[in-house]
Amino acid sequence: MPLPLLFIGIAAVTGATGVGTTVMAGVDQSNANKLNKNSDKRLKQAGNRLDVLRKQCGESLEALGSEKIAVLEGSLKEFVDTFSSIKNVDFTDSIGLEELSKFHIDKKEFDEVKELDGLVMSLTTGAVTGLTGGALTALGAYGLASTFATASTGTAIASLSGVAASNATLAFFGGGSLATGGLGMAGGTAVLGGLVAGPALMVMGIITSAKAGKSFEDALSSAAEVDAAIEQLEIGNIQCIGIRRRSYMFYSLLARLDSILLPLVFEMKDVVEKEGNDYSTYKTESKRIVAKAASVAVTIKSVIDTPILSEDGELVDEAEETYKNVCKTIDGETKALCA
Amino acid sequence: MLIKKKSAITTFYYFIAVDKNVSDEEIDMYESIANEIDPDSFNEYKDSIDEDYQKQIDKIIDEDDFFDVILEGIDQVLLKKVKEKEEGVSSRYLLWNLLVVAYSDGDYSYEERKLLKHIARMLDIEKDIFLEMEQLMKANVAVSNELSTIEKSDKPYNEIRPIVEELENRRKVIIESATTLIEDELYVPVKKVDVPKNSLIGGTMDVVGNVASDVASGVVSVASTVGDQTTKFFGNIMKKTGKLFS
Repeated sequence: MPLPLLFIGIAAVTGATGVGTTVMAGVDQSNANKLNKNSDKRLKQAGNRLDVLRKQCGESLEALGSEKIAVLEGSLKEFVDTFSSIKNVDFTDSIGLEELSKFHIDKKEFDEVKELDGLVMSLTTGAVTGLTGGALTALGAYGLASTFATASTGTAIASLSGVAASNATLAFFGGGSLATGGLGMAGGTAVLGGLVAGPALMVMGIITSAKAGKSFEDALSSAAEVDAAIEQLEIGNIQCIGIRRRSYMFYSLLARLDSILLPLVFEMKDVVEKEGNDYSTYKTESKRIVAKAASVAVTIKSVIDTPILSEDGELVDEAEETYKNVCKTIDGETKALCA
Repeated sequence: MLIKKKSAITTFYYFIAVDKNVSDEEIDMYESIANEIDPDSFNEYKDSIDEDYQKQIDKIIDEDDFFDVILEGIDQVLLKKVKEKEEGVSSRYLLWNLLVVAYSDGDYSYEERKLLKHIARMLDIEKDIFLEMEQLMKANVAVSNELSTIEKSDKPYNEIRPIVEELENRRKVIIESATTLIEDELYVPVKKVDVPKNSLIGGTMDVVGNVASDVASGVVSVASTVGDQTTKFFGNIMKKTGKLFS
């Protein structure tokens, strides 16, 4: 008779479903734990990467700021001292000096170079000595005039002005480890031009496995939140890399310009020593040396004063244009400048 | 992108030959870089690289084929894929060290630059990365020149010491910049969670448990020697050639 077989069949299916349900509950708990731990690990991984990159950013900006000071105190100061001693300078007299048409420095530009020199002297002596850390980072990110406050006398005073003094992005670069809450001024604020919001940074302190629920669904929900935070951190990574690269690009550009100016300044000094300080009586080659040095000095001044970041921490497009134009000039006219 | 170690070394070999003027400095550089990249195995296949090069050069039909034949030889080696779990060399690391070799004899020739651009395209290196590395190398050379000039001048040491210290620091910073550019390529982004729909199978959670590591093993040690190599090479070159170039 077939019925007894049927009865046995149904009984077996029921039994299997019961076992399946029990297994699901056990696996769900275990999987939730694994998923929460994984979310923790991934978040820490992403946070560590951003930590590394923001420190690199801070270092690159600080290096650029430090180099700006070194150039101002070194070759640029030497140039201004020597150039100031030369009388009757007239770059409009271009007979026999066809390439002088490429070198133009008018009185306004020369006055700006002199002002820069004066600013450096007051920065590095007197009230503001031993510039370090945040000041150098700000100097790297912004131009000189945008960075330091000036007294009514025009002398720089020992305080960062305006944007440099309260800038969350600069604080973000200089703060302690994100995981230990080292956000400083950046805590709760949007940094890097609003690309990385405070909450994404604050999640660094969150331990998802402790906070997340015990169910697999809760763990999945936490994992999705972590995914969103990681996405924002990765955007921050890209921005940090962009800023770091821009800083180093300007660093190397300034290094190249300085390597051209310093030998020219030594030659200028020789000219003054041998031919005196009346430009109008100089030999053609001597006039060329003075003109070249002046042109490079003005270029250096414009590079030093080019800001890399805007007030809200975004890369400035004009800086890239300045970089490309100056590189083109150095690469294309190296023979003219250095021959 | 990762490149097989032997392929990277072979690329250097072809590169130093491209301007038909192989200097002693370039040969020294090639041997140093090869031993740095593959200290365990380079000596085993060193001769085979030379043999393969000769076979490739034998394909020249006319004198003006030389550059194309070099290009074809490099393309063949760069197309060889790195096997799973095999150690390789990062493309940016290769590019930087090729730039070091290009500048080692004081003459960054037209052929060398043309070949470097081709290699950058083959390895999918972004245009701006290539140009940036080139500018970094030019800055490195300019600073090294400046240092050499200052040190040879008759100015008193007390006067030049701050300049010398600043210039040595600039070289370090420039090399640090190149190192970070190379390391950027080695970073593997953190993966999003990927949980299979069927959560009944306990074994599937192993997939979620794997978190991407920061740097592929074996490659980071190569990148970390960038600074040492560049400083060593330029130190030697400045002593040997004393040439001024920008």
